[in-house]
This record gives sequence, C-alpha cells and structure tokens, in this order.
Amino acid sequence: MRKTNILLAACGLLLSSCLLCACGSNEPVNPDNPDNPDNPDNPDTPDTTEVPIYEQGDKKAVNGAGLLFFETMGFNTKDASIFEENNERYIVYAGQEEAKGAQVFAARKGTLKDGAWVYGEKKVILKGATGDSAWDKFIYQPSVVKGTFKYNTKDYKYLMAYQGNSDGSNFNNNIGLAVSNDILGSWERVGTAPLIKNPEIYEASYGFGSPILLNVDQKGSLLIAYSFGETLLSGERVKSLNALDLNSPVLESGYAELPTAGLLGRDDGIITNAGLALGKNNDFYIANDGMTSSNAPGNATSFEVAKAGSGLISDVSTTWAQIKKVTGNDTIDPKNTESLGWDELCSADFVTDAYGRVDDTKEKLEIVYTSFNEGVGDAAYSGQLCSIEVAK
Amino acid sequence: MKKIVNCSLCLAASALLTSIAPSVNRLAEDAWKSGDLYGAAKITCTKARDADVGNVTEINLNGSGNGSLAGNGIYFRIKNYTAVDTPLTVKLNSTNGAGIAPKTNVKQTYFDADGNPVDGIAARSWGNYMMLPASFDGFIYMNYAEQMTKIFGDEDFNPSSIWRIYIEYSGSYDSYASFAIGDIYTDQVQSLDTSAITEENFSNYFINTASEFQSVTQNPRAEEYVPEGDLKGGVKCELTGYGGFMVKFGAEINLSDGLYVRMKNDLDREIYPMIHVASDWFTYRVVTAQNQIINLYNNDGTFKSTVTVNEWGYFALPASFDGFIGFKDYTGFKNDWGEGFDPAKVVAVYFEADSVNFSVGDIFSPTVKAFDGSEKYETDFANFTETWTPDVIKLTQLEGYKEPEVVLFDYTQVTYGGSLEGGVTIKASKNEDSSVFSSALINFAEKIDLSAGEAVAINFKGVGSYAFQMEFIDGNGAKAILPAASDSAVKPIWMIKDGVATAMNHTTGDPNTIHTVEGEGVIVLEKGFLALSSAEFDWSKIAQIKVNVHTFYDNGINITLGDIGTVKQDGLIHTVVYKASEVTAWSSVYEAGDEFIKVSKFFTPKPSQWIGDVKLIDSLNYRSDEELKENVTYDIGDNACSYKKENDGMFVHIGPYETGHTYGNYMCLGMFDKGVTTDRKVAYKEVEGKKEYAKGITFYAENRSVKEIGLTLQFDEKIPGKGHTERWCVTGYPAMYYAWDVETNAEYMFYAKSDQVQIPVGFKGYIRVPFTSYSVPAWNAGLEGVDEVLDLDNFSGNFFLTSDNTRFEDLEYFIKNVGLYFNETAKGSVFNSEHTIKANMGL
Repeated sequence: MRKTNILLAACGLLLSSCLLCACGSNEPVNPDNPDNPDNPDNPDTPDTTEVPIYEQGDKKAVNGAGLLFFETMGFNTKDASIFEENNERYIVYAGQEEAKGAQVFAARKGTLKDGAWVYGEKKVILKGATGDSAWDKFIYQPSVVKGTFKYNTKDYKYLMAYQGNSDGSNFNNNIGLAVSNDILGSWERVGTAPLIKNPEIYEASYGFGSPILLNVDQKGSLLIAYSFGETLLSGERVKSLNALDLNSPVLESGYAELPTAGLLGRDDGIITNAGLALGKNNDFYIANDGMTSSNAPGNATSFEVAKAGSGLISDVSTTWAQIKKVTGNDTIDPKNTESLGWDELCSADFVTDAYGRVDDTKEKLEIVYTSFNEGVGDAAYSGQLCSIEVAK
Repeated sequence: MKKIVNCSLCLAASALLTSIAPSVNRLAEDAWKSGDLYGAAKITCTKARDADVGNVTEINLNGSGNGSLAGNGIYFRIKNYTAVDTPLTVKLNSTNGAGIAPKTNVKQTYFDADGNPVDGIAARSWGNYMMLPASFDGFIYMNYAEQMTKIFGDEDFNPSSIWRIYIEYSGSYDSYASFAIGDIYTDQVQSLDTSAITEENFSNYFINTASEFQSVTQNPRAEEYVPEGDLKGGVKCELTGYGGFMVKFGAEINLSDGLYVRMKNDLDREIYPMIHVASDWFTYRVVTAQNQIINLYNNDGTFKSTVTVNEWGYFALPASFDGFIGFKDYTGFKNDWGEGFDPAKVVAVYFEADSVNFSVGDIFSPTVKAFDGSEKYETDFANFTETWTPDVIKLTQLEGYKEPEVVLFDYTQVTYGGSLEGGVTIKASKNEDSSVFSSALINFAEKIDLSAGEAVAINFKGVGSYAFQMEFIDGNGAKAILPAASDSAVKPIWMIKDGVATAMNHTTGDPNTIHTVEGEGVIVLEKGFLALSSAEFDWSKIAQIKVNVHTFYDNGINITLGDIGTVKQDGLIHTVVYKASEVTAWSSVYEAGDEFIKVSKFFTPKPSQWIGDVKLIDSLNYRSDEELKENVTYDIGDNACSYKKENDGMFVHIGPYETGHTYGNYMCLGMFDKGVTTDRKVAYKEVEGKKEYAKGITFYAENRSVKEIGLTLQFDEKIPGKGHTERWCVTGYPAMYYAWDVETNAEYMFYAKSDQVQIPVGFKGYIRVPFTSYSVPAWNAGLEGVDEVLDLDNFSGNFFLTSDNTRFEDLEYFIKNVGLYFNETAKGSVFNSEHTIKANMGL
C-alpha cells in the first residue's frame, strides 16, 4: 500500500463478509462454509481469476464499492496503476507472489464483458532485486505509461516507475525505472541505480517514493511525480523526464512541489501518496490521501479528488478545486443499506489512457483505490483494489 | 657761602642784560603753571665729598644779579631725577643783602607738572631746607612771609631786586642728588625762562661753584626734534656675560645731524650700556665717554631727560626704559679706534653691556634713517647683526620685520576634479562650555602624501557661515595649521566655487579659523600660508586631519569634506591623492572626537539598480566588512550568527541556539534604509502613469551546507502616525516560492516549511517569494494599526534576515541582491516556458 507520510499502513480487511453474489443477496456469506463457492477449499469454488465473483464492475462490493478483482487474503493487493487502451485495461499493482510472501509487482489485463471489466490471470511482472548491493530489493508503488522509449539498443512501449529500498524498512526509498513491451510480460530494469536517489543525509528518512508517470507528448516527454519525505520536509514533487533514450534519460534537476492550496482533505499542507492524471488541456487531477497530521499511524480513511490548471507545476498561485472527498460512506453499497463501506481508503489513482490522461469529456472520473478493512483477518496483508466513479 | 651785600657791578650788569630779563609785567594768576623744564639746569652730584660740604649752584636770574622775584612767593619748576627725597638749601638773596630761606619745619607747597596741588613731603625739622620729593616733577612754592624766613642781612628782603638764588645740597650726605631747576615764577612775574637761555649764556645764569663735585648742564631748551621710530624687526639682545653686538647699515650713512636710537631696557632695573659708532667702513670708531650728555625720549618722542655718561663710558638706561636715546652731535664721544671718525660716513652702531637684556630698533638722524628693522626680512638678520661675543649673547630678531611679499596665486586657473562622494559631513551640537573646541577626525591608517605642489585642495561644501579650524598632522605629530587671524589678509585660504575664488574670512578673536563660504567647491590651502609647529613637518606623511569647531558658538556648522589632493601651480595641476569614495572602512577613517560633533557619510543617493525586473534594495555588495556592518546591523548581544563580506555579497553562519536570544530562536540581521538610494521605499514603478506594484521579494542565495537551509526575509510596512510597523513574514503552509539555480539552470517551485524559505543543498541562485506567501506574525498582529493587509505604498525598505537557530544551527549560506521583483513569475515546465526567473532577470 502506498505509504502516507513515512508511516507504514497496517490494517486488516474483513473478507468474511466481502463475498457478493450476482443475484445481489444481502445475506452475509460465511467464507468457511464449505458450500461457499468462494471458499478456496471448496473444490467447486470457481477460479476467481477468471470468473470474478464481483461482476459488472459496479459498486457492488460486499462491503463497499466494487472490487476490481478478488485477491485472496494474504496477497495484499494494492497501489494500482491502471490504464485503458483499445477497450482493454491493464492494471499493474503491488502484491504478494504467494500468500504473505515477498512483495512483487503483478499485472492483469481487463476486458469489458457486458459492461463490466473482467480481469484475467495475474502475472507477476517484476520482483525485488537480488544482490547485496541492490537498492530495490523491496519494491512498491508501480506506475506505468505507454510511450516511446529506448533502452540499450531496444525500443520499448511501456515504462514503469517504482519505489524501492534495500531493506524493506520503509526508509531511504528511491525511485527507479523499468521497461517492457508487454505489460504482462517481463520487465527489464533500467540501469542498476535509481533514477531519483535519496541523498545520504536523508537516509534515515522516507526518501523518495510513490512515483506517478504522465506522458505529455505520448512519446518520451514525461512528467514524473513522486512523494518525498524527510524529517521536516514532506510533499509531492514533479519533474520533467525525457525518457526517449533511457540510456541517458534527461531528468529535470529542478522540480515543482505541488501546491496544496485548495485541498481540503488535509490540514498539514502535504500531498503524499497521490494519484495524478492529466486532462485534455493539461489540467491536473489528483486523488490525495486524506491523512491528517493528527492521525495515528495507519491508512487514510478518505481520499480527496481535486483538479487544478496546467499552471500547477509552474505557477504558485494555482490552486486546487475540490471535486469530491471520498470517504467510507461513499463506498457503501446503495442497494445494501446495511452494508458497511470500506474503513480505509487510500492510494487512489485514476483510470487513464495509456499516457496518463483522463477523458475530460466524461462526466465521471473512475478512480481505483486500495482499501482495507481494519480488524479483518491479517491486516497486514488485506489490501484489495476497488474502483469508484466520481462525478466531476 | 659768601653773602652778597651790595654789588655795583651786578647792578650795572643787570642793566646790560635787561633785554633778556624776564618780563616784570604782572602775570595772570596761574601763569606760573606754564613753567617748564626746557632749558632747565640739571644739577647732578658727580662725586661725593669726604666732608659735609655743600655743593652750591648760583642762579642769576638775569644772567647777572638783579633779577626780580616780585610777589608774595616763589614757584620753582623743579624735577628730582632720583628716587630719593633730596633736601635742598634754597636761599633768595636780594640785592640789599638780605636773604631768606625756607622756614624750619614748615612744609612747602607742592604742585604737579600741570599745576595741580599734590601732597609733597614733610618739611625738615631742622635747618632751612626745601624738600624735594623723590622723583618729583612739578612745582614747589614757598610764600615769602609764611614759608620762608630771613637768614641773613640787615635789611628786609626785597623780592623785587634779587642778586642770586642759591641752591645747595650736602656733597657728602646727599651725594646722590640729581635734579633740574627750570622756570621760576612768582605770582606776579616770570622770573626766569630757562628755555630762553642760550647755550652760550647758560653758565651766566647757572653758576656751578662746585664743578669738581657736581655737573650743572642745560636740558634742551625746546624740543627741536621729535624722534620717531620703532622696534619692529630690530634686535633683542640677551647677555649672560659681558658682550655686545653691532647693527650694520651696509652702507656709509651721513648721520652728521645727530644719532638717535630706539631702545628698550628689557629688565625692570637700570642697566648700563655703552655705545660705539663706526665710520669709514669700520676704519674709525668712537665710543660714549665720560660726561657726555645723552637725551632720553619717551617712546612717543617727547623729551624725557638726559643721562650723563659715566667715567667708564656707560650711561644709565632707566628700568624698563622704552623710548629713544639721542645724541645731537658727536662731541661727547671719544675715539675708540683710530682718530678719523666721520659722522657723515657711519656704517654701524655698537652696543655693549654686561649681563643685561635690551632691545634696539630703528637707528637714525633727524634727516636720515640708517636702520629700519621693519624694512628687513627675517633672512636679513644675520647680515645686519654681528657679535664678537657669541658665547654670552643671544640675538633675536624682533617681530615686525618685513614679510616677504606675498604674491597671491590665482587658483581659479586650475581645473579641479574630485568630489564629495564618500566624504564626511560634520555637524555639531551645542556645548555649554565655551572654552573648548570639539574635533572631527580624519584618520589615515596609510599616511597620505600631500607633498606635491604648493597647495592642498579639499573638495568642500559649506552651509551658512560658521568658523572652524583645520590641522594637518604628520606621522610624527607635527602640525600645519591655518594662518592666524592677523595673517589672513595676506595669506588667505581660498574657496574656489564656480570659477571664483573667495577668501574664507577669519573670526576676530578666534585664532587660526576660517569661515565657511556657502556652497560647494574646493578649498585651497597654500602650504606656505600655513603655520608649522616644526620645521620638520612632513607633507608626505599626513596621518590625520583635524577639523576643530567651537561648539559653543558654531554649533550650527554644516560642512562636508570630500576628496583631498594637491595643486601644482606650474602646470595648474590638481591631483586627487585621497578619494573619499574609495574608503571602505568609513567609520575607521572619519570619527567624531566627542559627543558634540556629529559625523556622517556624505553620498549622493542614487536610484536603485535593476537587474531585469528586479529592483535591488540591498545588493549586500560592500567593499569591506566594516562597510557591510554599517549597513547590515546585528544588534543582538548573543552569537546567534556571524556574518562577513564575501565576494559580492554576504556570508552568514547560523549560530547555535542559546537561551535568552533576543528574538527567540531566530538570528536576525537588519538591513535598513540608510538613504543610499533615492527609492528604496518605493515598491512600485510607474508605467504609463499607473503604479505597477512589485510582486514579491527576491534574493540570491547559496546553500553552503550539507542540509537544506532555511531563511526568511521579513520586511516592514510603515504604519502612518505610528512608531511601530506592520511586519511581514513568510507564512508556512501553504506559502510557496520559486527558485532558479544559475549554475544548473534547475528551476524550482517550493512551498515554505514553517516560516522559512528553504534552500536546497548546493543551490546557487535566485529565490522569489511572492507577497501572497507573506503574512503578519502573531506577535505583530495585535498592534494598533496592523490591519494584515499589505499596502506597498507604505513599504519601508527595511528587511530582516532571519534563520531558525534550532533547526539550522551551524549551517552556512551566502546571500546577495535582495530586492523586489515586478514581473509575473513562473517555473518553466513542459507546459510553460514564460516568465521564468531567468527570463525576467534577463540573465
């Protein structure tokens, strides 16, 4: 799950009540019931990777808005980067390769069936680096865009930015790149050093993480947004990145810290762990975790969707205009008034095109987020990916 | 004394001499008051007797017997040349043989020389004496009936027919006697007019019967010649033993008609000089000789008295005598060297004496001036004086000698450069002590060389008319000061203004001062006009200039001194030697000597510099640490920071936090408006008649630390009518600012963390903080007039550079070019390339 302000999130998700039936039954289903088709011990349990329990992609979660797909408890599905192209969706996310195992990046392909997105088999696409000196033995927060990228002598269509550290401690994070021509295939790391390295003096701090890639020209001119955190400094930065030739990427030495004026979801002026997207006119959209400085360490319980002009990264006077603050109440199944919304909502990102742009013409923004239900099961591994539509 | 009873010869003789007999017509009552001593008989005892025998002088009123003392009493015009009361036996002998003398113990009647009654002295209680008081000069009257008595003869005294008057004194007891008897009157007649007695007949009227023991000489009958002269440029002689000197004329001068010398006894006791006179180029020489009569005159030329040269050739010059000595001719002199002395060819006069001090001035005759010290230059002294006793004599030229002709150079011909910039304006406050001067000091650590040329030139400005003194002090402490008031007319200090030279007047009563001339120009001080305390004064090593002001009278003074240079007359060259604008440690150079003097830096405010859209308020580019600290002040008593000049800006080291910091946990440096620029307070620019206000604060900074460093430039907004201001500080969240690294070209957009603008590690470039990122802190918000609305029309131009000591202790940064920026500013991005800092600044 995406970190918020250097704090590790830990929560649990109660899956026992997360099963939804296509008929819309409102009665909770005991997952241990051997007759429960979702019980993995039930030989009749359908392959969830192919036949999602949650259909239609609607906000019909057992508790809360719709799951994109169900990942069994312990896989800690979170921090998605998702885009749609040619009526297909690709979602890249973090999760465990095996239950409670090492964190990897996985990808799924979604197709539209009867108006709902159905995601296929999970593919593990990138694992933590090996080697004693590897800076990214532990990897988090993938962000993928399409473009034109050359690395070594090969051309690639997809570029990933990700966060990594060497010890899984959530300190001294750096940001690196990987390329691929097949999202569901293998990914090759770009170099052995991070693209954005945390200065040694800040090694005891969070460092740099939660990267977001936005492809401005649909080729190699990108914006890379990322969180930074050290003892007294925290926020979101945006740099330009010319990734046409990843043998010598041109990363802007300066950066813009995203202003917080207009964001109402936080009182500490910090943007972290945000999802960003561009609009048609280079407007910026943000889905920012709603942590407050008074929160005890934990996950956000809301996220704020807002919009700002293209001056966001050049003009300090640019402010955000809130679109919506999404809380757990927004995730309640409207058809099941007795259901509960998600307790914790975080790490939201927009469903964009392959280049990181939302369709401004649509009346709604579709947002994918990570959710947890505290107290359910093993909280550390209870992340799931959900989606919600927010009217602009 | 022989009594004369009858003398037929005398009677006959009297008839022959009636032509000169005094008038017997009855006079006006006070006629006697006109009696004088012209032609008077001076009777002086020259040798004491062994026995008490009287020295007698007989007075024949007509040159022989038979004069007249008709009337009721006799008036003697008389003078005592001694400081001792002198008893005189005075007998009036009428032709019938009767004689009267002063009554015993009856006081005579005394009058001063103008005929006013004076006390006189008491009569002698024995004998028949007329008591002559010491130094008396006036009239003594004796009434025949009341104050005189018959002492011989059978007949009654007949005053109308007088045979003789006898004047007698003891040649042994009163051997000091020296007195003169002049005109004799009665209340009816003038019995004797001594001024009418010719030199040839004198001895007929005054008969010296004791010539071995006394001299009877005639004083000048009337003042034929009034000597005129002075001591100016003459010779002061101080003898510690026997010695002498001569005054040489340098030519043979005809002094045949007399010799007069202006002389002064510099002691308050009588001295005895001797005089030699040489002629024919020193071939012949005569010397004052015994019995020679020398006239003494007062310094106004009036006759004073005579002195007689003693047997050794010396004459008595009275204590503190200040006048003339005169010789009508040379008959009294005796040969001293050779025998051919010719008064028509006098070349020198010698003066000899023993262990005394005296002065000699003009030497002349009634028709010729042989020596006039006021016509001699100081440099002539060694030529016209000569001594043969150098070991015991000190000769000094008296003041009043001829000054070399001062040819005033026209300093308006010179083209002057230099300026007042960077110099010192001197003002004063009143000191109630009127006896002292206060000083402004201009100190030259590296001594300046003003040796070139003939004059010193100082760029100068004066307001009003006030007096001041000026001293140039060399490296050894010797001084050159302004000429004295008496010299000012011939040795002017010039103020050259607009091509016109004006002499700066002196203040009467204030020595060595000049008055300011209103306006700006150059003051020119000709070195030769300045008074030096030492001949070794060294213009090439001037260590200090002092400007002294009498702050009781001239506390309104307002003068400015700028560049200092020299003027060379040949070539009309003005050279600036010391340029005030190049002084980087101004306070070390210019200082006030006390609390009554105010010194301030003179400069012409200039408009602020601009770099693109940035108006520099304070570039922090000072020429020295001292100059930096004159403009950036740090008045906290603790070591919250240290700062110094570095290259074209200021280096700052943030110190540790210590309890008791004046400003809490913040270091604070103040940058205040010192009037250097004309528009520091102006936070807008006029564009087509409208005000365009600045958008924010900008500065250049370099982070020299390994961590991000935070600083803030707070600024003040004036609150009209209030003594406090509205303070603007950088807000924390959500304040934002821009940065541009000039080396990497990286552009940044940051938001402020807490209240500090944070500079990335290694950053070197410009920061722009928009005014929208400023707010009023809590400690200021509650003050009256603080409305928390920024009004740039009241921008104060004052900044406060702060950093948080607790967060940034021991970190360092460099800062310069603090100012206001005016253009819209944005960070360059993929969506924007306009209004970047770099583009706005035109860099």
